Amino acid sequence: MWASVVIVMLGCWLMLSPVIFMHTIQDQVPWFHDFFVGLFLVSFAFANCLYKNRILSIIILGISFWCIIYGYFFFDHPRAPIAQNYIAIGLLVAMFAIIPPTDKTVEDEAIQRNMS
Amino acid sequence: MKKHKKNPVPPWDYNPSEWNQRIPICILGGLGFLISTYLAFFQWGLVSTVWDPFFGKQSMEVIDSDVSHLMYKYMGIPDAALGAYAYLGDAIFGIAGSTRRWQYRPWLVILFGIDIIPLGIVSIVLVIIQTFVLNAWCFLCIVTAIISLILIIMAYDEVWSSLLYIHYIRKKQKQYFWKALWGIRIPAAIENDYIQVKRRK
Repeated sequence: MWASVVIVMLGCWLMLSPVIFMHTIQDQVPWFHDFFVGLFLVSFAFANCLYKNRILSIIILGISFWCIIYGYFFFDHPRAPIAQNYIAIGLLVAMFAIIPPTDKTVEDEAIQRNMS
Repeated sequence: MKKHKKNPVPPWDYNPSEWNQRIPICILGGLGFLISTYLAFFQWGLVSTVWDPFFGKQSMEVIDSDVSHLMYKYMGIPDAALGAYAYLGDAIFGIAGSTRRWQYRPWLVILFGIDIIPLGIVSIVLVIIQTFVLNAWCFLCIVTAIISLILIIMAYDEVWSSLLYIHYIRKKQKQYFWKALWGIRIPAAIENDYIQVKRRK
C-alpha cells in the first residue's frame, strides 16, 4: 500500500513537471504528455491501493518503462532536464511497482498454513 | 553483530530475513542514498562545490571527469544519480517482505541481491578507476564504496539462503520451481521439508 502511495506522489510530480521545468507546447515535449502520463500513474496507483491487483502493478510497470524509453531514446545527449526527469521518475516508479503488498498476501497465508 | 537464533534458516543458525538483520542494511542504504544524491546534485549543477575534508578539489575532478561524462552520455542521467537509485533500492527492497521472505518471496530476495552485490562491485570498481586512471581521490565516493562493501557482507547470507532453497526445489520438486520462485503457494509440507532436511544435515 505504501509503495502505491509513493507512486501516486511521483505521478503528481510528473503532472506538475511542465510547470516545474517550464516547458511549453513549443518544446520537444507537449505539456499534456507529462500531465496524462502522470494522471495514468496516479489513477492506476490509487486503484492498486484499493484493489491490490497484480495486473495493475504490471500496468504501472509498463508506464514506468515508457517513461524510461521516452526520456532515453527520444532525446539526444546532453539530455534536457525534462528528459532526465522522465528517466528518474520511470526508474523510481519501476522500483515501487514491484514492491509486493504487505497485507493478506501469500506470505500471511503460508504462515497461517504452517501454524495450523 | 550478534546473530539471533530464533527460527534458524539453512545453512545458517539464524534467520537472515529477521528485522534485526535487515534494518541496518536499510539504514546504510539510506545513508548511501543521501551521499549519492548530494554528489548527483553537483553533477546536475544544483550545488557548486563538493565537500571533501581530505582531498580538497580532487573530489570535483573525479565527479567531473571524462569517465563520469562518458557514463552520463550512455546512461542518460549522472552516474551519481544512478548510484543514489541503487542505494534507495537497497533500502526499499530491504524493507519489503516478511521475516520468511527468503522462502516465500525468493524473487524479491534475489532482486535485492542483484541490487546489492553487482552494483556494490561496480561502486568499488569506480573507486579503483579514480585511483589508477584519474589519479585523484574523492572522499565521499570512497565512503559510498565502503558502504557498498559492508552491504554486500551484510546481505549475502539471505540471498544465499534463497538460492539454496530454490536450488533444492528445482532438484527435488521440479514442478513447483517457478511457483516457489515467484512466491505462489506450494504445499506447506514441501516448504517445511526443506528446513527439516537441511537441519538434519
